[in-house]
Amino acid sequence: MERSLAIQLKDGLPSLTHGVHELMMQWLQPLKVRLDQGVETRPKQVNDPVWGTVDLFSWEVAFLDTPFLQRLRGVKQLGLAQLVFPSANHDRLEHVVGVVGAVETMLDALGRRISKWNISHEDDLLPEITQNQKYIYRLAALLHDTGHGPFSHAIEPVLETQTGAANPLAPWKKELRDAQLLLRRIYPQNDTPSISEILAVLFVVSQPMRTILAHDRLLMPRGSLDAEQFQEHLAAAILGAVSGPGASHLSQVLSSQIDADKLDYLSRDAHHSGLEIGFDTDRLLSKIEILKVTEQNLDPSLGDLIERANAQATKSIMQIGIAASGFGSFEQMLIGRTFLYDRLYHHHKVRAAEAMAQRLVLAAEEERGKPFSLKEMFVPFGDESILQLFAGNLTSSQIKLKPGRSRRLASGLLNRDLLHRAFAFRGRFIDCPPGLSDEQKEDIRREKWAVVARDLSALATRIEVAGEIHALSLEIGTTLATDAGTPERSKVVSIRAELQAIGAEELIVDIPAKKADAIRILARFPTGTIRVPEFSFNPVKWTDAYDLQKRTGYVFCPRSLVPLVSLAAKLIFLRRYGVVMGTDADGYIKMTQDHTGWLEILRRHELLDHTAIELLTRKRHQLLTIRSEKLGIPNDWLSQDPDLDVKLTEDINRVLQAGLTHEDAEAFYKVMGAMFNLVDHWYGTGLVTEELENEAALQKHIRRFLEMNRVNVTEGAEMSGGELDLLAEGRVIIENKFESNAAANATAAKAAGMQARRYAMALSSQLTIVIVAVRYRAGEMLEKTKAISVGPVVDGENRVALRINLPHGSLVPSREKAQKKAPKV
Amino acid sequence: MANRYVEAELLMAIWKLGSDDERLPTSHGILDRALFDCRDDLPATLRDNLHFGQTNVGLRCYELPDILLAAQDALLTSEPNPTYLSTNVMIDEEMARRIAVRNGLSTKIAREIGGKLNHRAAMLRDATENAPHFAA
Repeated sequence: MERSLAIQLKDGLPSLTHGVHELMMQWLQPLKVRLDQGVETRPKQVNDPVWGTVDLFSWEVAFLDTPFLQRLRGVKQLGLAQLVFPSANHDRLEHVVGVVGAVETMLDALGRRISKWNISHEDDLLPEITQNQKYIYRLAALLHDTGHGPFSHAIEPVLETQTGAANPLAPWKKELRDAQLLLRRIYPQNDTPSISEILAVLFVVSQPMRTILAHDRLLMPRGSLDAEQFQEHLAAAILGAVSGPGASHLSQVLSSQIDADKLDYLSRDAHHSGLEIGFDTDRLLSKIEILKVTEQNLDPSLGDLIERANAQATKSIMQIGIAASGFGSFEQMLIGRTFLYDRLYHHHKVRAAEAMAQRLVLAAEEERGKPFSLKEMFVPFGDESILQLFAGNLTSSQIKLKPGRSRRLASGLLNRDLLHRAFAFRGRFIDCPPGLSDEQKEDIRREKWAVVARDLSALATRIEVAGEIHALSLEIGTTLATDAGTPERSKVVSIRAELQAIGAEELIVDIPAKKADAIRILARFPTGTIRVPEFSFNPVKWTDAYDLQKRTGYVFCPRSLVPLVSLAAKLIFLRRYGVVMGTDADGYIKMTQDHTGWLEILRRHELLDHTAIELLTRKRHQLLTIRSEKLGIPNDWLSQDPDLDVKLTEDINRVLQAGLTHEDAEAFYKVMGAMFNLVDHWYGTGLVTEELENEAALQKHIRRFLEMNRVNVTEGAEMSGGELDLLAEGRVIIENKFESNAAANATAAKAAGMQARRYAMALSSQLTIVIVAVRYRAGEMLEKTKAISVGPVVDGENRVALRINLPHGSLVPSREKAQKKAPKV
Repeated sequence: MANRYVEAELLMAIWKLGSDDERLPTSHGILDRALFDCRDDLPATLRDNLHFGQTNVGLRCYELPDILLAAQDALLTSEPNPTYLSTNVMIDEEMARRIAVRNGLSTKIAREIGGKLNHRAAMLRDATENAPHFAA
């Protein structure tokens, strides 16, 4: 026998279900007492700005008047958006009541469509919507958002994030990840549920909830369903289940592409924020319908669906769909939602506030030394009270906090002292060196942005980068504060002091998350054919493209710190990714600070070099990654290993994390071309077997060969307490080494060492080639394609050292054998 | 789309190597089905992170919308064409080869996998386009 949903969840998620059980016991206890005592609850009518009068049944009112739902009073529907849109103050409680109204309206509309269909299709009737079904989906509407914690969606990412090495992920948080996989297995035709959906499902299938639903005095008609089956129908509705426990063709009324939830929040958010989106709810409602999908009316290309329909006893499946004449309203809804994202949900100040809330929770966890429990995350306080708690203005026995830096973040949110933009980044802002074709520029921009976008998609990396920016801001501040020549030095001193006081929590690297959408609804065309809608203009993909075009990442910090943090952020992006944002990005930062005077001082103190200053001020373009086709690897090398070029390029780029300037890259390609020729020449002309006298002899060979290849070479320059062997093209350092004794395993390029670094620093060079004359042991000589290996000059720096092994005094294989035999003779 | 960039890079790389400049189908479940049919040939990074199911509109890969969005965000694909039925893979052969090697695939193997995926997608696209009601 198949296990019930509740049992499967309990077995798979012991810690999470235990926490949920405790919370639900506490939240539903007052209702249980009332029911046990026979206290009567009466139906109510609620006035709603979107749906007019919403009638609530007595059992709905009974649930509404519990801590389980009253907790949502004060959990703002739009998180912290009210700090930017003062009238957008509505909460989740208002929304869930509204969704009850929306479900009622939607089911009424569907009922009318069914009646209309049944009049003209007597031999193919659709089932009418029963009153009991309405009870299920109305109650599901009331409960669907109970999985939201404080600040609504804003802190969902935090529930999945470890707060630092010291704090292990709480078992209940870990089980949230397991729950996603488990629910996807139980409901295989649905997408992965969100965190808030998972929690809402766990709440509604809990034992305390079952006790209430089964209570005779709740007076809720359940039809033929027992309390547990009723719970499964609620869970299926919250997930919009297509199949699985509790699923029916009406389950998607609450969660799908056109659902009661969306119909409510789009209208409600627009209404309260004062943003007009022009969305025709009535028209859309009149165009949704129940589709009876069969092989006969399905488009033949939908083989999977035909198979599914034929597998049913009725040879059909039913689901909510849309008439083709409703596409216009559907498009209007999706486009309206996009504008709300652009202007409301992703407004830069709203993002700053939500990022502060996320960081506030993480910082508070670190300060107290352990993660919050589920019970603490779901304390029955509104957002405002939670902020007062975190700010230290209130205390509660239900949540343990320790004073620390998180208090400043909480106070900032309470007083609307929000963080400001110090740096803006976007793929389109990345500028390229002049002299390249448009196509080359696009290739370069693409390659760079792909790394930035991938790296910063994880919250943990964004926190790490913010930490780097904070540390560099402090270093810059300290350097500038101690130099008597610093312009506006007193301002720097004060910024530095504040930076020291706040820690890294108030520097936030943020890029808006976006969940992709896809057309997941079937449409009925006038011919009666059912198929996935085809739009000449696909609104789902259009909205994705629109959002991405406007998607800009920011580094936020307190307003007074912007001058220093903006400079540090630019430098970190240059060091880490080799990118400099073009002048377009400046328009997003309201800052007039001219960094020029500071940069020269920082260069004197070796915090950056001349090249970096040029890139940050005048040139404003990015560094380049090495490309294999320009390395000039000979074809016969590639015939031995066709991927040698990309492997070598990958190795070099991994060390040169940020890349090279255009000039450095060109010099490198020229010298590398000569180096491959050198190795070819060395192996091809018998130098492998010749005895090489010493390092000077090696250097002579190399110099002569480079000059023959028209590489500009300087020899013996004195610098940084040493004598540089060779400098090629004024940028590539060449060091020679001579090993007279046979050395095994001389292949791996190790860090070139501090002397090489000193030369590199003195010359602002990122490129060192170490050529080693090696005497291999018998039988160990490497093929020429393995003569080159890649490593750093010193670990962790954006400087590469290529090691090229040139064998000398080696035995050819036939002579090796002869020599091995000799002692026997 | 968070954390779908690695899959996005790899999918675009094998498509580029196996299909050169052919457009990548992005709608009507064509790529979903092609990935499902070729799943045994896919590199582990893709195979282990893609999940398929019979949704209310037929077989779909649950992660694919996020992967395609990540690819677009990372500028690996063009903005979709006006009908949004397909997109151009914008990375060049060099970048595609480096992504393949980074993921433990030789260029040759990546090209073979991409070729199979492209072939399967072409067959599915033809079937869809030849369906009576398709309006591209």
